[in-house]
Amino acid sequence: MLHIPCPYCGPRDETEFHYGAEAHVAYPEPNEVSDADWAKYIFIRSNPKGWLAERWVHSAGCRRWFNVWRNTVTHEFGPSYKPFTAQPEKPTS
Amino acid sequence: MTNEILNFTFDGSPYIGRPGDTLASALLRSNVVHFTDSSYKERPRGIFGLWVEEPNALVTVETGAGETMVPATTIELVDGLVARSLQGVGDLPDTRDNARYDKTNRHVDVLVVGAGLSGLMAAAEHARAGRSVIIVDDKPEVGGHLADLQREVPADLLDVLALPNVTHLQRTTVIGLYDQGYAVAVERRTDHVSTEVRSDMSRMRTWHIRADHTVLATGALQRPLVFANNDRPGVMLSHAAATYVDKFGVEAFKTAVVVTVDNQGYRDAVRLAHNGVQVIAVVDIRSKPSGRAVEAVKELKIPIFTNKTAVDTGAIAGGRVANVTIASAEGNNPEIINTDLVAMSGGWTPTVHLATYIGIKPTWDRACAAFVVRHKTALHSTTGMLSGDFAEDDEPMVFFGPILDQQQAEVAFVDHQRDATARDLRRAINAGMRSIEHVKRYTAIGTAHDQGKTSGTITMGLIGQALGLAPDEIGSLTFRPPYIQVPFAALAGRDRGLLSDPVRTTPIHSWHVNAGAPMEDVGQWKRPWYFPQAGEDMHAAVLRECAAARNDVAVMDASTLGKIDIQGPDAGIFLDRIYTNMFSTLKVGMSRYGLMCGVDGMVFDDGVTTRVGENHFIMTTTTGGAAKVLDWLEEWLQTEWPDLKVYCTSVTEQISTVAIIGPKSRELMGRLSPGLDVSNEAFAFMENKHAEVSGVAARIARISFSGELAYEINVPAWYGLHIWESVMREGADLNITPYGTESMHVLRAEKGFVIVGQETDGTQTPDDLGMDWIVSKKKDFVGKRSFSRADTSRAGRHQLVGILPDQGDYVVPEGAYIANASDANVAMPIKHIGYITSSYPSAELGRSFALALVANGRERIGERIAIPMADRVVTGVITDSVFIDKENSRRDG
Amino acid sequence: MMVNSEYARSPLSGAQHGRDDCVSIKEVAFSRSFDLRAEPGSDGYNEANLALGFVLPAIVGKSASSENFTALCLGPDWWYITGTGDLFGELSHALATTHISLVDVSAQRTKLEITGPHASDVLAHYWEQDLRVSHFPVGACSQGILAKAPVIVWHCCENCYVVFVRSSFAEHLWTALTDATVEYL
Repeated sequence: MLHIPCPYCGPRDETEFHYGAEAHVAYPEPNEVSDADWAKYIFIRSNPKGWLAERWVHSAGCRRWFNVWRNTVTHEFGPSYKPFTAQPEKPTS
Repeated sequence: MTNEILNFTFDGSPYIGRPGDTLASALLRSNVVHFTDSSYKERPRGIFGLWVEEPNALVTVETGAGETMVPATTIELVDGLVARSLQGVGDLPDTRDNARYDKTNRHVDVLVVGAGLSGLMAAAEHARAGRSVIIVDDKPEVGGHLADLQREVPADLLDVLALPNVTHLQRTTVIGLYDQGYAVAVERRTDHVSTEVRSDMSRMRTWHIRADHTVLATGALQRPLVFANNDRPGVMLSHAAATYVDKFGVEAFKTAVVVTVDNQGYRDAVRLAHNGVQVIAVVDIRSKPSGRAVEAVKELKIPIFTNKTAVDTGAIAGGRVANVTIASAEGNNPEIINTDLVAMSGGWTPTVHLATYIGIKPTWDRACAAFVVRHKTALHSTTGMLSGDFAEDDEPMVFFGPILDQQQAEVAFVDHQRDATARDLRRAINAGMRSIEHVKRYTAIGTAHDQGKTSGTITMGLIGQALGLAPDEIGSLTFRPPYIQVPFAALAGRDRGLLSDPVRTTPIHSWHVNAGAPMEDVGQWKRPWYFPQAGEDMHAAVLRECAAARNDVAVMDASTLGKIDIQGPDAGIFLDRIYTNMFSTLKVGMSRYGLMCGVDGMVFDDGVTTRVGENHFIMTTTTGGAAKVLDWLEEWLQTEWPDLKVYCTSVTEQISTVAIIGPKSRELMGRLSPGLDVSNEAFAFMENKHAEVSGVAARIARISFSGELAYEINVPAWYGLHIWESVMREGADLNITPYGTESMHVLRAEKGFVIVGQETDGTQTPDDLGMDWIVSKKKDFVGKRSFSRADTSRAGRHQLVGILPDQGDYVVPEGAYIANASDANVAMPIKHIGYITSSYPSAELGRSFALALVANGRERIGERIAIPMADRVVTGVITDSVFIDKENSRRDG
Repeated sequence: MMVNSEYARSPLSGAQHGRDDCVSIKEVAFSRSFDLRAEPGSDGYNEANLALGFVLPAIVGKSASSENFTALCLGPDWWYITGTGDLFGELSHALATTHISLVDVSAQRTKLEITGPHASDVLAHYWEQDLRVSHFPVGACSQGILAKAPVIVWHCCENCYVVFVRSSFAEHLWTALTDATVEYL
């Protein structure tokens, strides 16, 4: 049972959240993007072994979306940050 | 010890025991040395260990709540206990487990796992520093080994357990450790008191604990040695044997031979000797044992054989051990010693399981001859025997057993529960296995009920020996929770039956129940499925309900639909971006049906949205889609369009909706709201009016999901039942007919209206559904870009059509595959061209009909098709998806 | 919206269970409540503060009260307001001229009061968040899941917790909570 650090509510059990996959995947300008790049936007997300900046929404709580660094191997969480704010550095280790 | 006697029954025979006994100790005191036979090879087996490490003595407890596969060593004896031995595999009871189980949650500064000496000391340190502490121990009493040795726990440590910031859970096993300091522990609350199953107290309580820091003080378990016939009854772990004799007064053994790799064997030899057992010899594989325990054995004049170990045992009739053969590690100079107890001290194995659950890797400590965990981070630390804190003057040897020939290896047991032997290990290595994880799976060693508690390290060691590697070069010991067996009922707690998932009900639910309507599960909601009158089955009820809807007036509870209040100066623009059609142009007081697509262009929800003010809309969604759609709206507002001034608020349960439909619904609406002009001119299709309905302020919308004249009456949910009752009362002479979800499905299907989740599965575009009319060509919206993707725009996509089966009295099952008529009887596999999505009998049509998705369907209207089924081939024709009133003339009444 | 008590029904019909001296659970029927959305520091926010009689706390989990209203902060721009005043009337100007949202959600949830020395023990059977007074003091509030039901929990005074539960989940939550009182009564 992960304890996910919501930047508004503090750490809460993962059952209060929905997952939003890799963060910072830009929504392309639909009329200016090729079919291939549009398909990448719809279907392709990173899945690294290690630290990933990803999105979560605290759907059972404040209902806010936020980003957070999570290590996909150890499930450690790094700093969380609100949308449209500067991304903290990727944690080491 | 008191004089109280406990009576119990084992394998049908009566026995007695004392308070403080385990089932195992009481049976041993009654000389039950041969306990059962092994599961695979039917070898006689006896009690082997002291606590959870016991591999052989498993029982089914038939009293109390009943439980199977329980080690007799972990059962605290109570009066009236009835138990039966198992041959490795238990039987699930026929009856329900009706004991009460519950759960509780705690957050704490420090969790200490283990209340042996080191755990108590850790708890004391943290508690005295003012931190909140939960200390958990699985045994009947605190003290760990001190309790086994009947030594007192220092009073100052016991005092800590009573501090207000300390929660002490005894008889509680931490079964799992998880991320970020989460632990699950199961507390046993009543089994040790009596066999009574109480309804006012839970038998087991599962604790869900979130700790800032966890101290692991889980101690160590003894391991045996691997030699030929090391599994006979009477061959036991030495600390267990000594404790049975010393603490529990077992007198089953007259003589003993202790076989050891460390000084623990000597300590146990002393305990045996002090309790009247003739210890014939201590057999030590080491050459120069020394230390206090060794001196103590010498003082008792017990012979010590060095550089020797056990290589084989012999038995009496029935299988109990009668002698042990000792020799060098290579098997030289064998000697046979008669004995009725072979007590093995193969070394201490720290209980590393919990640490491995969260990815902490044990390290091999040669001096301890063990895998230890020495860990200290913000989240976890270790102490005591777990971290290798063994007796100071002890020098255990890394030794797991003598060299064995093929014959000996065949009966040298590594995993008693799997009857897996040293020979099996060799086979695995000869087959090319090198890693412990592969060997485990190849031999099944470590995979049984005891989860390798006594075999893990031995297996690493023996593989290492075979390959010339150290034990830690074979891989890493990993275990999986739960640490011991847990009844599913304990994990479920109170979440059973009615409480296993919420049952969501509308304010009108009691009326539906009293009317005898069977319920359909729509997500967590209960919705009335149909309202049968006396003698009706669903088929008859649906035909009657639909006929009333199209000829008189019918009423449905639509309260479960998702409703979202959307406000703000940019609300219209926002809806334009989310829906495929325009909403910013919708007039105040009007409703409009909208379709929503994902970024992939596939339909994912629909609903009617009403503009109740210049900057104010109320959106409806499907019942099942409410939460998903709100999440979707928020995702776009928060992560993509933060500049839009829009606020969304869920009002799904604020509003109760009663829909009256049919040609006589206008008459009924007029009766319910006498002040309202219900003429078609004054109150047009898709218009909304605010009016008093049966004395309650309401918003009425002329929305129709059936194609009939219809009114949806929206009131605050407190008044939902009142409105429904008024409808039933005022409509009595109009044949007012309540209808449920089944009739609702039929009525809309006759009109070719899709239901998201029925006609769609996330892979249909609006055009596939014949809904190109709702796709705005003027504006961009979420998903539009995907319509021009190659796969989305290719020819041959499945399109929504109708199907009329030739046999009008047969309702084709939903999901049935459709083939070309010419393929009706070809050999399988038959190429399919689509499938049935909705299928019903129609009162209006007087026959069955269906909606389907068929490749290129719209171009094939009029073509014949076949639906091959297991017992028949249904033939029919592709039709338009609208079956009645294509001109929509009925909706104005 | 005034309550027409002749026609109104609450999800639990004002049910009561237990004893005040150990643990008591009861439904407070027809409690008035609103969802307010406003950007802290904005004109709408400032007008709302005037109407309410206190500053809306902008930290999630905090509450503020006046004689007529209590506001629970559920999100950075989201408050759940309970109380007996005419909030729509008080905020009519703000609603017309600023970007705020006020929605009557009185029937969306129903109000349960759990009181007594064992109130937190009963809650702890199902509430997975931190109930320690150090972390959830009097005045604290939190939105989350209780026995699988979406709720807002407010620690309104010592040994008293108010639970606002979505109305359709009310019966389920009532069954779960009253069942959990078994060992305390």
